[in-house]
Amino acid sequence: MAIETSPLTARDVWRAELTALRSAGLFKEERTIHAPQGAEIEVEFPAGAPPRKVLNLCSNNYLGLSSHPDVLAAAHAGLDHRGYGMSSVRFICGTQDIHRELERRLSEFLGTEETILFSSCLDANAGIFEAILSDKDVLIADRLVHASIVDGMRLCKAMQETYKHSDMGHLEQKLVEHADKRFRMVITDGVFSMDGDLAKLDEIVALAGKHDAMVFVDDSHASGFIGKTGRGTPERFGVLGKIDVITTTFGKALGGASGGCVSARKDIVEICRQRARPYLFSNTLAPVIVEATLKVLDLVSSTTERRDRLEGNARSWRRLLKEAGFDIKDGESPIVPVMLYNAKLAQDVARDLFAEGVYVVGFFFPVVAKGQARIRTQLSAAHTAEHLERAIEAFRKVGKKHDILGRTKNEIVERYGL
Amino acid sequence: MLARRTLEVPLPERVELNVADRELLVATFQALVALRYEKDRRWELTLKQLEDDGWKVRWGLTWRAEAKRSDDYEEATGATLDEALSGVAQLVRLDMAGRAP
Repeated sequence: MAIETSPLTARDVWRAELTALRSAGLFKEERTIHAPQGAEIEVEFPAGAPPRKVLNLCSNNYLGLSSHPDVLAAAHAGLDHRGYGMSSVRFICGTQDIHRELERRLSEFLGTEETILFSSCLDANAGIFEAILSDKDVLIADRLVHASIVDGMRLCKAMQETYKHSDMGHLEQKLVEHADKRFRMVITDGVFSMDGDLAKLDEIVALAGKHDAMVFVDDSHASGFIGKTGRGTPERFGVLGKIDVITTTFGKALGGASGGCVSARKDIVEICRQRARPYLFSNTLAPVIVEATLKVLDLVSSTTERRDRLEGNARSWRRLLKEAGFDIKDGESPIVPVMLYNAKLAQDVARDLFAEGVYVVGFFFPVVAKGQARIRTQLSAAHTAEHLERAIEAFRKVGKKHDILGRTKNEIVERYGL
Repeated sequence: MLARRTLEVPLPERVELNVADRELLVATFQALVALRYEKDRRWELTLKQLEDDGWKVRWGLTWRAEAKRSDDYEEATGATLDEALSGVAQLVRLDMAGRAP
């Protein structure tokens, strides 16, 4: 039988795809930073230009701990005392005393029975569902959960269901529909990364209780600062200890390096140790990160000063943006989206803000739904009042240039299109 | 290449085939051919090998749904048409929303 061959090589196909991304304005350019992570950073943009000091409003460095001197000292100590690498997965010869200690401390902090470390929260989300559920079960996820949860669900043989974003009526409908399944697991982010809104965890827990379902929360954009003592969205909604599975990252507020975990009931964690493939077939965290994360937990457990400052900064920033006439998404998290609706406008505004010394990124389709282009600003405890004043000055200037201050969505759309 | 051979089946008067009826007829004949003739019934050998290796194998016909839009593609199978279509709808919904890091 003759095999039909394509006249195009793989390289042709990939090049065409990259060209299409560039022409559609969807190509992601990485900007090189020439400084430690912080409220102000030195950024080389465009590539080859001399680095410029700019105000950083787009990192996940919520608590400003990425370059904290105590965290750096702990990282150095980790290197000195436990070496650089593990050169093994956990179950062969890759478990040190400090890995156990970090797991214990995380359980204590998150109010769970047991914790297991992963190289990232993406790995935790990719590994857990397949490890604990089967084709007799159903996963019911909020439609705006993080991409890594979607990947984890796809790897699991359980039936995949979704409910409309934060729609409790629709969630209950799905729970009723799947009453015949062996196990039901409701899946949500604690804080949704695009809009910065919080999951209605108290209502979700109540519904799950009513319909005998488990609750899974990815609290990556919450751990360390949401809730009165920074325990995350379960604390904020008064359901600490009632969430079956919490996953979170150390790559955001908790030091910002990398790593993540599943924190849950003991039996769930034990199953993950036996079956979760990202855990079984990949090294765990390097000692440097473990020691630094332990120090971060010391810092966030000893005082709420940083999370309080972050909360204050987010409140001030929302007020400043509103007073300036920007259309923003309301909320209580340090993620504050400035709505621009039009993709090109979002890119132009981000570019002009960079020229004014403020580093933000425009998000548009397919990262957000069509017609929902925006600039996602993110606050940090490392920002000072002076930083916010400087940032709002730049926003005002750029907003005025594009004539979007005080404009409604319809007015912006009418002028720039969707 | 072999000439295409067709089988004509006269339908009773007043019988109007809709899309689903046609799909069912095509699938039925495809299943018959697959079971009786395809690749000299190699499936029997594959099945036997699996059973010899200690697997209890259950097999049967199933529904399959595909959804394509531009470069995006999803597919799902199910014991019923509803299951297959619901499956593909869920997969599409999972990836319809924008995702931010």
